[in-house]
Amino acid sequence: MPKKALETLTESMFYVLMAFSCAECCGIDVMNFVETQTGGALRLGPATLYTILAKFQEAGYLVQTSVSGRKRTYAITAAGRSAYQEELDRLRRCVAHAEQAALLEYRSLPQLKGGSADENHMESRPLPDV
Amino acid sequence: MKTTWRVVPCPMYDIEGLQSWLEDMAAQGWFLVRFHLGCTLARFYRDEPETVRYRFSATRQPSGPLDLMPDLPDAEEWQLSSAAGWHYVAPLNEFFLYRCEDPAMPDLNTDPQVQALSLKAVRKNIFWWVVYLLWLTLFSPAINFWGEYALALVELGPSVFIMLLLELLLAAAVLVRVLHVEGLYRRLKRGIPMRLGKDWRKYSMLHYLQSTLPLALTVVFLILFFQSVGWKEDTRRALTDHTEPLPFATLKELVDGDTVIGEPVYKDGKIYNSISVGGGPLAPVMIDFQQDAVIQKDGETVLNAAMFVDYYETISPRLARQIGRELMGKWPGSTEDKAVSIELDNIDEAYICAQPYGLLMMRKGCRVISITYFTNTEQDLQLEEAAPIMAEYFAQ
Repeated sequence: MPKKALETLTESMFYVLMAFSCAECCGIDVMNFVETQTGGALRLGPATLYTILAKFQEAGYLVQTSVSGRKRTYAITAAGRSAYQEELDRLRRCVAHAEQAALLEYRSLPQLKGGSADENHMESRPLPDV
Repeated sequence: MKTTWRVVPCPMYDIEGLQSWLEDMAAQGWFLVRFHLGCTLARFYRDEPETVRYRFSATRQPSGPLDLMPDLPDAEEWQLSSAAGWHYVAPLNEFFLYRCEDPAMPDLNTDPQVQALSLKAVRKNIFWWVVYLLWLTLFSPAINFWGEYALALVELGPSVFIMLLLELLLAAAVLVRVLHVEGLYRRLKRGIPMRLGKDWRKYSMLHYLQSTLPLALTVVFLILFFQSVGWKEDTRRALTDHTEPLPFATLKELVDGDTVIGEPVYKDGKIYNSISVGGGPLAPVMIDFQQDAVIQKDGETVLNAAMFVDYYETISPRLARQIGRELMGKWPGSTEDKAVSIELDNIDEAYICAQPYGLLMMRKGCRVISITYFTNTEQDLQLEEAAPIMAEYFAQ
């Protein structure tokens, strides 16, 4: 059972699980994977990654599979895969909601405050119920 | 290699301030070697001034209750940080300090919420700090004085106030520490990163004061304590050498005798026929009087008895009343319960107890006295008869 602290995955945690969902790997591989995958937009600090690896092991998301010198290799567990999948589904839902929202006619949005549609920036619009 | 020492200007728990201070030192060409005496002193080596980043990372939690806090990063932590351009510098309690010279490398902690999780060991220690805080504020004074706070206040004088002030300062320091760590944890948990470039100078004077004041107070406390705790023995002298009038009746006055036979003797851990006179801010006159003598009148023995007197002349009737209660509390085994209130002329309050031996407490205004009275035979003057004479002398 995941610990309460990990019920919501942060962006860093999500990417770490993503790396392990692809293959067994070590911390440095994860760092490189995340940087490559995000085009450098997200870079994991070593302390952040170290903490995540320790917490994921505690939560049963990862297991250590081998140790070679300073290098430790981990593999994702069923619980880890499930947590990753849940987060992935949640993010997909968010994206779907955003895409649905983008298709709505701007003028049909409720609670618009003054001014024409062109004068309002998207970020300032209230979110519709989907 | 040229090295120097500096007094650390921030408390150990202010890791944002410490990071900022170390970066400022590096910009002046001083690079940390290690912290000493907890986080009191820091040793630096000289090199070319450089813009570097210093960051603290919380240590991993000990795996069991008997495990010590690790003093070095483990192999994986070491490997990850080296690969990301961060070099381990030194430990500091529940943290490891790292340094990075390359500004292009990512920060040591890139996710505040994950960093909040890493503070688990630090927060766990808060529990023990809270226990210590409770000890300082509640249990320690209770145990130190054990129901005799008024007696402790008058006998130990200013040293008690200094001890209380010291405990208050320590309690405040613990409270600030707990609030600081908890505040940092909550900020990180909300996703707010640590403050970089924090102005460590802002509170450095306060920190120096907070570090040195308890030390200075401890020294003052110890000096005053040892001065005050030994006042009875330091001022003790034979009754025969004491010529000033006493504010209470001695054995001689009880029977109007003319000769006192009684030399200072050491018996049962006490020196009989001796007197100590002291004083302090709350009780300007304190007398410890012990007499074991044979009183004669016209060559005949009229009294063979002993009496111990604790006399206090305080600055307030309320304090005297409390001292009276506490003196009665010191009477042997449950005699306080057997004590009965008696009316004596010109005395505000008086309690007497005849078993297992005579005990009398009298208070008049700011003055209070506790008398323990022994007689050798039933023919000798008993306490019930002696009490009015004692009251007469005490009331004068």
